[in-house]
Amino acid sequence: MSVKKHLPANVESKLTSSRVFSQIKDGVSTAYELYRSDRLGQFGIVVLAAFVFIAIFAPIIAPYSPGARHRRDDGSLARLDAPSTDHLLGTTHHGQDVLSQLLVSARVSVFVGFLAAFIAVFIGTNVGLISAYYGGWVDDILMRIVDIAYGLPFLPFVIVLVFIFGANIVNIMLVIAAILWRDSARVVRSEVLSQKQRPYVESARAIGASDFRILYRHVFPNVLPLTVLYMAFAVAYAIMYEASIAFLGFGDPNVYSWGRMMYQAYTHGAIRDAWWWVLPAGVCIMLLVSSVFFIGRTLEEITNPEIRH
Amino acid sequence: MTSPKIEVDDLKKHFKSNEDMFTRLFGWGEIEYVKAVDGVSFEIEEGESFGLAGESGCGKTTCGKSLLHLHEPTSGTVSFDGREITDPAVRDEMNFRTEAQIIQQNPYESINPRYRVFDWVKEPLDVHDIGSEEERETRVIETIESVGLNPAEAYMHEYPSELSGGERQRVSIARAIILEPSFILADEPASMLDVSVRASILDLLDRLQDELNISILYISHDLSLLKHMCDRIGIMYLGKLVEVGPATQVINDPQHPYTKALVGSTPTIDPDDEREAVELKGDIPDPVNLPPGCRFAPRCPEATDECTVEEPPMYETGDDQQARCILYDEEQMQTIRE
Amino acid sequence: MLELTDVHVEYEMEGDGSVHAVNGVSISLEENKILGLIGESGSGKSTLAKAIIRLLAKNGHVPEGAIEYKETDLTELSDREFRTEIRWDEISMVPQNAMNGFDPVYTVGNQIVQAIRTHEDVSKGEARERARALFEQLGIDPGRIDDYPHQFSGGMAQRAMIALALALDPSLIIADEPTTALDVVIQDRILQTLRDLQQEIESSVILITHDISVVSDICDEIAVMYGGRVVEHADVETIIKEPRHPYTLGLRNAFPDIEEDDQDLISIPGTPPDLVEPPEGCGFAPRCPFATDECWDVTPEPEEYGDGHVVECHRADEQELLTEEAKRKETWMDLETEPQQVAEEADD
Ligand SMILES: Nc1ncnc2c1ncn2[C@@H]1O[C@H](COP(=O)(O)OP(=O)(O)O)[C@@H](O)[C@H]1O
Ligand code: SF4
Ligand code: SF4
Ligand SMILES: [Mg+2]
Repeated sequence: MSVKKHLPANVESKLTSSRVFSQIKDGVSTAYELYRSDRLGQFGIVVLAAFVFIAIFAPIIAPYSPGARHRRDDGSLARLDAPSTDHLLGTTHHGQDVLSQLLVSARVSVFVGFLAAFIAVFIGTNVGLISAYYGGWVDDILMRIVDIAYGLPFLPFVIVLVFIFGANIVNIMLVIAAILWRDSARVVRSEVLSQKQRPYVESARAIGASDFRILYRHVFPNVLPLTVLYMAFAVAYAIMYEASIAFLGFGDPNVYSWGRMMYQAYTHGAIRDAWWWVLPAGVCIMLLVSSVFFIGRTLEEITNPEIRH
Repeated sequence: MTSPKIEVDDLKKHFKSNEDMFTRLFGWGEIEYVKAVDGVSFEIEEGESFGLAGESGCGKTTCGKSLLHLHEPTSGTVSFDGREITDPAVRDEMNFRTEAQIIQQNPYESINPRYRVFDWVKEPLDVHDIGSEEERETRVIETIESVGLNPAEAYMHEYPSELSGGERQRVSIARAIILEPSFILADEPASMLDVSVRASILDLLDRLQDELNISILYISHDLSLLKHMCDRIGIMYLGKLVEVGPATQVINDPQHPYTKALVGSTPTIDPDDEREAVELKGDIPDPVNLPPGCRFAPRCPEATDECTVEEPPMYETGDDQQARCILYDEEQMQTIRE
Repeated sequence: MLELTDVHVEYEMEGDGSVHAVNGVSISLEENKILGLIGESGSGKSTLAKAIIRLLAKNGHVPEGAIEYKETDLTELSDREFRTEIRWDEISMVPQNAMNGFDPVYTVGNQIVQAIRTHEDVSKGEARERARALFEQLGIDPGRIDDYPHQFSGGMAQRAMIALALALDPSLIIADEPTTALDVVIQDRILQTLRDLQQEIESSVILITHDISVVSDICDEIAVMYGGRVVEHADVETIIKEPRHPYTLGLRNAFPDIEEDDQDLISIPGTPPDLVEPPEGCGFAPRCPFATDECWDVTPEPEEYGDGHVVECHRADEQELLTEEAKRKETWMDLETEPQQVAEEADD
C-alpha cells in the first residue's frame, strides 16, 4: 500500500486492474489447487462430467433403443442373456438391452438430481432469508413449518403423495424437493441471523434501501457460498431419493431410471441371478452420488477455510 | 427563528429483554425491558456538531439510531427541520433517507464485503434513482476523491478487504456524503483506527462539515475527541442525559458529579498534571431495574438521601449549561443545609 | 534487570518470505519502573512483548539478539526451563484480550489457584485466600471467585487477568493494551491499581498501548516503536516535552488532549513501512517531512542525547527546528501533496 502513494496515476490504475485480475486468478487457482490436492474432489468432477455427458448424448451413444425387444438367432426372445458382444451388459427379462437402458437412465438421475435440488435450495434459501430477516411471528410460523417438514417420514409421505398426484417424474421431483428444502432453510436462517447483525446491513438501511434490496443484494451474496454448498449435498440426496422411490416401485413407469431397472430385476426374481441387470445400475447410482458428495466436500473446504487444515 | 436541524424530545427506546415465542404469540409471562434510551431531549442547530458521550452501554448508539429511525423509538418525538418524522409517510415525503446519513464505528464490518468501493459509494444514488448511469459514475469518482482517496481509479475496484482501516472509513464517509445530506450521525468514527490515522479522519470530517454545512452528531466515549470536534456535548448515563452544554465549558468546568468523574478519569498528556480522580463506586448497572430517584445515586460520591426520592430534572447551571442533579436545586439545597 | 540487545523477531510466511516484525531492538529496564511502549498497530509492540515471555505464534522466532533477564540470557533457556522458572514466576503477562487468556471451562478462581499451586508449594486453601485477597485489591467482589470467565464483564475479566498475572509476585509484568477496550472510569481504576500493586510488590511493568495520555499518566519511561524498532526512548518528561524524533513529534500532534481548548490535530501522512523487505535507510523517511538524502540511504543508529535519552534519527540534534516545524500543519501537508517528489528521492 505504501508504494501506491508514490506512483503516478496511470501506473496506479494499471496496478489496480492487474491486482483485480490477479485476485480473480488467485481465487481460481486456490480452487484449482484444492481440486488438485484433493483427489476425491478431482474424482468427483471427472465422474460428474462423464455422467452429464452421457445424460445429454444418451440417445446417440446408446447402441439400441432401450425399449426394443431383441431376439436370439433362433427367433426366441433374448431373455436374460449374459453379456456378449451384441449386448455388452446382457439383456433383461423382456429381452431389452441393459447397456442402452443404463445410459438413457442417466438422464433421469441427473435431471431429477439437479432440478429437485435446485427447487429445494431455492425454497429453503428464501424461507431461511425471510424467516431470519423478519423474525418475530414470521419466523415462528416458518420455522414451525420447517419442524413439521422434519417430522415427515420420507417413505409414507412419498407413497401418499404419489398415490394422490400420480407417479410421474415431475411429481416425484417435487416430492423430493418438498423433503429436501428444510435443511437449507435451517442453515440459511442461522447464517442470515448472524449476517443481519452485521453493521453493513444497518449501512444499507440508513441509505433507505428496501427490505427486498437488503435481503437479495446485501445479505444473499454473503450466504451464497453456503447455498452452493447445500446445493451440492441436496443433489446427492435427490439422486438417492429418486433411485429409492423407483426401486420401491413408486417411480414413473414411463421413463427409464436406474432405480426402476433394479426394481424390475427384483420383481422378476432376477436380482440374484442376472448380475448384469442389477449391478451396473447400482454402481452408477453409487458413483454419481459419491461424486457429488466429494465435490460438496471440496466446496466446503473452499468456502470454510477453517477446516482446510 | 428557524427551527433547529434536529430536535429530540423525550426519546425512549426500550428493548424487550426476554421475549420468546410464547410471550409473543400468547402473551404469557412477564416481559422485562432494557431501558436503553429513557427520555432524552436535545437539539442540534444547522451546521452544528453535537457530541454524545458516556460509558459503553449507556445508550449513545441506540439514541443515535432511534433518532434516525433505524430503530423504531418506543416513544418520544424527533423533528427534522421542524417536521416530526415519526410517521414513515413524512419521512418519505421529505426524503429523510437522503438528508440524514450514518458513519458507523467499525470500518471493518460496516461495508458489505461483497461490494467493491465503487458500487458501495454508488448505491445511495441507485436506491434513490438519482441521475443517469454516467452522471452517477462521475459523481462517485468525485466523491471518492473528495474524501482523500486519490486517484479514485486506484480504489474504486477494490474490495474492502484490501483497504486499510483508515481507507475504509473514508469509503464510508464517501457513501455518507454522496447524497449531500444535511445531517450525519458519526458513531465512534475513529475509535477503531490508529492514532495517526484518527487525526486525518477527524480532519476530513471537520473539513466536509464546513464545506457542505452539515450538522453532525458525534457519538464517542472519548471526551478528548469530543471536546476537539464538537460545539456542544451531552453526557449520557443509563439512558438519560445528565449534562448538556458547550463542549469546552462542560469539560473544563463539569457540573454533574458523573461528568466530573468522567473528566477526572480521562488521562492527560502532560505528565506533571495531577488530576483529581473522582472515585466511583461499583460498575455501571444494567438498565433493566433502575434505582429510584437519581439513577446515578448508587455510585455518586455526593449522593444524599434526597437523591433517591425523585428523579431530578435538568437545572440551569450556567451559560447554556444544564445538569440533572439535585445539587443545583436552590430550594432543595436550602432545606438540606438547614 | 531486563536488557534486550539487538533483538530481532521474524514471522515466517508460507512462501512469501518473512515479516521482520521486530528489527533490532536494544533497550533496558530497571527494577521497579514502568515502561510504556507506544506506537501504531503493527509496529511490533506485541511481538516484542511476546518474544520476551516466549509466547510468539508458531511461525514466529527470534533469529538474533539477546534477552537478558537478571543476568541470564532467556534465549538460551529450554522451553521447559522457561516454563517452570520464568513464566508467571518471574515474568507474567496480561494479554490484549483478557477473555482469551482464561480457559472457559474452569472457574476464574480455580485457574488462579492452579497457577499459584503449580509454582509454589502452598495448600489449596492458602492459594484460594490469596486469590480472594487479590480480587479484593482489584475491586472485584471476592464472592465471584467461583464464576466462570464468561460471567465476567470485559472490565472484570481484565482485572481478574491482572490478578492472575500478579498472583506469584513476578518481578516483571507485561501488560498488552490492558485497557484499550474499556471505558475511562474502569481504565483509570485498573491503571491506578496496577500502579499501586506494582509499587507494593516492587516489580517492573512494560505497558503496551497506543494511547499517549495513558503512558504519560502512569509510566516512568516511554519507548516509541516504529516499524519494528525503538526510535526514541527516554523518561516520560522528556518524551512528552522535549521529544527529538519526528515520529514522536507527529504522534504528539495527532492526539487530542483533553487539556487543550483549541487544538489543531495534525495527522501523519502515509502508511506504516513494509516489514517483509524493509528498505535501507530510515524506516520513517517516506512519511517524514524532514527527510534528507542521507535518511533514505543510511539507517540511523541510536544516539544518546543527555541522560538516557536515546534517539534514532539523523537530524535529532536539530531539536528546536524540528519541534517548531512539526507544529505547523503545512509541514506535514506538503508531504501529502507531493508524493512523487518523495518517490523520486527514493530512486536516487
Ligand atoms: N503470527 C503472525 N504471523 C505473521 N505476521 C505476524 C504475526 N503476528 C504479527 N505479525 C505481524 O508482525 C507485525 C507486528 O505486529 P504486532 O507485534 O502485533 O504489532 P503491535 O502490537 O505494535 O500492533 C505486523 O506487521 C503483524 O502483521
Ligand atoms: S442528584 Fe444526587 S445522586 Fe444524583 S448526581 Fe446529583 S448528587 Fe449525585
Ligand atoms: S532519520 Fe531522517 S527520515 Fe528518519 S526520522 Fe530522522 S529526519 Fe526523518
Ligand atoms: Mg498489539
